[in-house]
Amino acid sequence: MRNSLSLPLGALGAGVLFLALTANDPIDASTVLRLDVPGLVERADAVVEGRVASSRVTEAEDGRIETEYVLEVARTLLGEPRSERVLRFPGGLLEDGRGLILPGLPHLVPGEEVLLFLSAPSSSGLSIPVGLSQGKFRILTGVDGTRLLVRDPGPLTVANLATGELREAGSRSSRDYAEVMAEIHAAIEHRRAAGAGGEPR
Amino acid sequence: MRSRLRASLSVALLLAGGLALAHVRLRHPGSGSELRWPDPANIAIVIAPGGSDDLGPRGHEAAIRNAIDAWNGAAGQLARIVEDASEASRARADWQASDLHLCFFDESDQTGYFPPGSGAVAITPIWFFQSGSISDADVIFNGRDFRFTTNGEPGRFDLQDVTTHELGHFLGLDHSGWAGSSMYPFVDPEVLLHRSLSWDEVSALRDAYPNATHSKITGTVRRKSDESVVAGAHVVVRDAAGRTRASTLSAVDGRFEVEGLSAGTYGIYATPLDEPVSASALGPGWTVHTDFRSTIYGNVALGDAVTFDMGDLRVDGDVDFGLGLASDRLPLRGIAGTTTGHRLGGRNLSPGSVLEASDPSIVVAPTAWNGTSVEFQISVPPGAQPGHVDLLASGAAGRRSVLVAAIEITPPDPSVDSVTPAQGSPQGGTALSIRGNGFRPGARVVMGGEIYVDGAPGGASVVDATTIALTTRPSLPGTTDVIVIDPSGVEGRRIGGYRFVPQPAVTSVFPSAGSSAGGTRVLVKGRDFVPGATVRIDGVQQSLASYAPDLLVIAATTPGLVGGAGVLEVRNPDGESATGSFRYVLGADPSIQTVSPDRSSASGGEQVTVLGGNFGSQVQLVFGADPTTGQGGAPALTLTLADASTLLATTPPLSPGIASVMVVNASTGQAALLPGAIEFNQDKGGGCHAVPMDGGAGARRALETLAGLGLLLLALRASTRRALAAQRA
Repeated sequence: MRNSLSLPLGALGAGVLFLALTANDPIDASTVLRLDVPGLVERADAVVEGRVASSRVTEAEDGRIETEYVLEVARTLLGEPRSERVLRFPGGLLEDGRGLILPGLPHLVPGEEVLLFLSAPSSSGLSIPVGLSQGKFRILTGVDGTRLLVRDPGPLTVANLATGELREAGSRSSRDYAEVMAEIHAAIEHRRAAGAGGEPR
Repeated sequence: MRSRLRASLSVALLLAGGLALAHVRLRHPGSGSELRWPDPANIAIVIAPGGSDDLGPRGHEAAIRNAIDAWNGAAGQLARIVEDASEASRARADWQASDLHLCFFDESDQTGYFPPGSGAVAITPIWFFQSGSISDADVIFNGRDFRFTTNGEPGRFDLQDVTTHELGHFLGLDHSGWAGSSMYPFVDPEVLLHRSLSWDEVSALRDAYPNATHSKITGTVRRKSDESVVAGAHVVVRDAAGRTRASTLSAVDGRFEVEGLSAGTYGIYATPLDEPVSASALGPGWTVHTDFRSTIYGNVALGDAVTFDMGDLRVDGDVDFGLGLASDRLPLRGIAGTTTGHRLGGRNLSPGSVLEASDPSIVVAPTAWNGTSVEFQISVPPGAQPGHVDLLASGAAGRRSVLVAAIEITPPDPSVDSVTPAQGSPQGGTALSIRGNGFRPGARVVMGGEIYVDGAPGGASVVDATTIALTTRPSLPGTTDVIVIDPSGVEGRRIGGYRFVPQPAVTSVFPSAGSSAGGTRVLVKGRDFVPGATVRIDGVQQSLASYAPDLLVIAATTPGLVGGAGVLEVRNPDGESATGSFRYVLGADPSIQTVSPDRSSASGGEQVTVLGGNFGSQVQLVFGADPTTGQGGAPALTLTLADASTLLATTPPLSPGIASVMVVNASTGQAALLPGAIEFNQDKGGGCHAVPMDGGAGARRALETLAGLGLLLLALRASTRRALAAQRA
């Protein structure tokens, strides 16, 4: 079991903490480039960390279904700093049960903390994470502030307070937060040195 | 303790997903219903004619059609993607409309789905109802940011490969955990191996759109340590030869059904869906646990249309050991009769570990274990059947990892050595012999944008491993590669192997002779005349009055020499030429001015007078000859040459309708033809109405104007009727 952290139990006391996360997030591409972290940075218009405050699904007259997310930005690593970003993803589920899926495009879930590599808006103003599901990491935070980044839609995060072990059930593709941040900063510096200046492509 | 809590809460907190079925299907994000087309036998799709900026005119169509054929060819299921090739549908661009399922290239982000830097090569939006019925889907290629190829150009994505994957989504399939399947989530430029479906896709279609009852294996995956159920375990089935045949993911309660199986003996194993395909590659609604190691069970013998319940499959505890990463270029290709070198990433791939293929006839020989990677060779015996083979790594202390369907066995690339003849008419009909090696039954030939499928009507015929025969279909002029695609997807091509070149042919010259003084109007009938074509008579270029691909009209011949070669040559701009015969003779050409009366009984026997000029002593009179060739028709029953400008004749029996009258001086071949000169009626004709001079001339003028537009006969009929109607009034 690779993805485990030893955590101080602190104020949580004895017992088990379950961080329930709905299972409707990420996917991978329809057909998409395979991108590592430097590749995500290279293509991104913005790299931001924050909490998903809300989501709202709308249907346009031409039948397009979109989901509008409000992201409370905690940290802008690349791009214009803003305290809040409104992101429009294509797809979503309407109240009457109709919907639109774009296989490969991730969903955001209100309440979850995320790290997003965002492309510039499309011609219709839609935002799409770079590399589709590759451009979204969910952030899991332990009681001591230690963090993991995960892509899998594992529904549960189990913190066993008896052992101090945090595990994200079902995730083989989680990354150490600090490690990824180091990669992002290095990639941003490389991009700036190459003349991109951290500006949108 | 941890596992028990996890298991119980999984049931309590997660979406109440149904039992997982074979393969992985797209699901309704709310209800968990699997998405499917309500009328799977006729799922229309339109290939947008605009195509890709990267490919020539119609250059995208054959690749997309091949991908459609791949899905339609899956046995044991009902789904059929049917191309709507109507001009009305192909002219539409309103892809959002639910009645149009469009496959098109977005070259400027007009859809809004390809913002700069998205990295999305292609995308398939799918609209659905609450019931899970798919209401609309489209396949959109990102033509602005990526380049596509149909001929293996480096750095470009193979259009057929990408389309095959996208059409899987179009049909309601999600990504697959098989490294060698078409629905594997990652693709690299130039990859071809996703063109052919794996058994995983076939079983997925059998699950979604069954046309028969297939056998299945059921059971429940549990952890050996505490009996808790495992959700999202990748349960895989191999056949007796060790080939990967079907798979499923277990549901949240650990239950699984591997469906779509035929009778046979199968081995079964469960493996975590982690690397290289993890749950992040799947759509909404899946719960995937990976905290166990690959665990292999015994064989199961299945009959037809039966269900075999294996009960509980208990998996061993997790180990930090794995073969394959998302960054690996997969699948690995094993070529029959060949040894190839490969490298895969992973975890704890230490010296002393063992690497082997699930098919024992495939020899895997590691050459270096590097901890995070292993290098090895794959040797495939000659004649090995195409298909997928698992790669198994075993380490110390019971460590085990299975890379599902990692190796795709293919034959060697076919080769195309020659095409005979090397060129032919764009109108098709040329019989070709393609010589090379490695041609197998089921191969298809692509050339000139057309697909010739082995054994299909109007297709190709694989005569043997070295010869394919086909007859060309109408195609656009130009040079084309000749591509032979094996059923496995690998291909061979002869670059520029065939040329669709207009090869003009002259089928008639009318009249066949004209005055040496010139001024003869000559109609040259044939085919494959190209704009800019020239006509020469005995080497002297003539002035053309009109052009059509099958008819050239010389307005008036230049003067020529009697006794010359008599060669009329049509030469296309590319130098291709054809010849006919036209002779210069002494004496003026005959002419016709009026035919009176202008009507006759269809049974003939009517007396008519033909006025004109230069009628010779051996004059012949023909009714109903073809106006462009002078051929056909019927000669007058009786004919009297009153003088050089007057003929008295009896009409022959002729089918009712408007007919020409032609005068031929038989001794020279000179001729004159008045189109629409007389009308043959069922009832008795006669009367006393002559075709007015201006009406006949008007008819000829209209003829000359419209001949080049291919409206010849229609114009004749209309103008003559107008003239006759005016006279009757």
